[in-house]
Amino acid sequence: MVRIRFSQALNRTTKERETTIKLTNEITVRELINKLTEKYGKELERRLLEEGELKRFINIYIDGEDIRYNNKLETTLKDTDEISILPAISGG
Amino acid sequence: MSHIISLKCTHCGAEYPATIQNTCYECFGLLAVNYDWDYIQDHISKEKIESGPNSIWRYADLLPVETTNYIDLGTGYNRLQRAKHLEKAVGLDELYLIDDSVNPTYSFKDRVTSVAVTKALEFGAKAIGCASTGNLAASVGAHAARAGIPAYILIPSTIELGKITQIMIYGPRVIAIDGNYDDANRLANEVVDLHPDWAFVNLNVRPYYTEGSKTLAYETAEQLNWSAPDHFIAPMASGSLLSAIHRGYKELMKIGLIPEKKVRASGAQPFNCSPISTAVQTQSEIIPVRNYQTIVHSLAIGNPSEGHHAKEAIQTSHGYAATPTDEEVLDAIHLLARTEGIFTEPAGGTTVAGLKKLVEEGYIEKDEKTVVYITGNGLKAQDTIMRTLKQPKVIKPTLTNFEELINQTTIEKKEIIIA
Repeated sequence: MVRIRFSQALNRTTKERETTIKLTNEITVRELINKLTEKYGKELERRLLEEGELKRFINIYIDGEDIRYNNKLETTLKDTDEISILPAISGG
Repeated sequence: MSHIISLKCTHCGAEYPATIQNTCYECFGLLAVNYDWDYIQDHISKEKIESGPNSIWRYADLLPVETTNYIDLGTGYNRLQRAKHLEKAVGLDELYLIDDSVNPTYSFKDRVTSVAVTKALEFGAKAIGCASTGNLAASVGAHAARAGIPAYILIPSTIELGKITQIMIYGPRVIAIDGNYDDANRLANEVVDLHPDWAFVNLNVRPYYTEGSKTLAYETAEQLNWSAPDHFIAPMASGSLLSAIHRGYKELMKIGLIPEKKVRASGAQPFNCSPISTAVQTQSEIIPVRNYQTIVHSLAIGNPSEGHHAKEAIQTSHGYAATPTDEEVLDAIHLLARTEGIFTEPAGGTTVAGLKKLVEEGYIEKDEKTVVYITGNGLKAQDTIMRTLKQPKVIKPTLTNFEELINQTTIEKKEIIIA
């Protein structure tokens, strides 16, 4: 089961902070967002993507690794991965 | 009536009540405090500021707090010093510095922490915390102790020993992360999401926190007899310090406390971790840096959240950005110490090295009245800096030995070896 945690900033859309999805085969982050959009509605996709790419102010992590350092939305997921969708805030 | 109207998204302009929140629910953009400038203008004066406390809280009318129960360790209102020897060494006519290494926990972070912790208590937060490369952690630890509130501090396990010692002495819960700053920050982001009644100063109360840095501009302007410099240079990590200082000058002009003028903003980042500086130099988007090795731990943020704000401040003000190497940073630490008697950590070395490069390359004009912000104390990074110094020679306690020694030609600085 892939476990997905949502930032509080997505609460209005997801109405929950966490969900799980059973994967039968490897999928990409983009495909995961499609699955989440089926569950939570088109609003979720609008919140996360802009012209088909991840919005600048959003970070998606797979087991703590920012997908921007990997293959971005085409990064593949395994059934045991933990996903966090968080605002891009850092530093002092 | 309050001087704070709301929190406003810096990207899409959506507004929210001024509570514990850092992100726009529409576009995920960063939020900033939206002030009622007419109200502020009616209630502020130079005389009122000048009769205030000798700390950042003399500028309380320009800071996002309602209470007067400030968590104040005596931060700020540091002397604006004319850097006569350094200006000669780098080739400027008129150079000033503010030395924030003399703040209560020895870095500029006391400015932002004092504001954030005061605000957190105003909100009734049950604990405070941060993700930090060291300086902020020490500041949060000290302010938590003064406020009598628990603190949770996430740090990369690789930071300087001197910083870890200082953090721990104040008694917070310190969680060392097997990873870099960006890893610690990501985890802290998830922690505050899970504990909404905790205030992590640089995360969920960030809109208030960043306002503390503006006081560097206010102090400079006040001590320049209520005027702005032509040019300033600041170190960049997330980019928030530089953009806050730039904003601070513009705010003073907006409310008529200083005359209108263009203040050029320039920044510096270490060569090996310079996403903002590189974007300025190449006029491109900011590309996050994943793996970085630099001695400048306190500026080592690969994914700077306010990088685009800093870049915009630099570009719109016609400033520039420097990327000194670690070796140049260490040289600049020596230069500042030996010209002005100020011992700064590698972040300060980066700023001074950046200043030197920008003057050499013509990005800072010789006749510009320039201010350089020294943000942290060298005593925190002794293990790094000691490697550049030659150990003193031991002699027998006789006058003959002393005279012999001082008549020898000595090399005071080792060839710098960077691991």
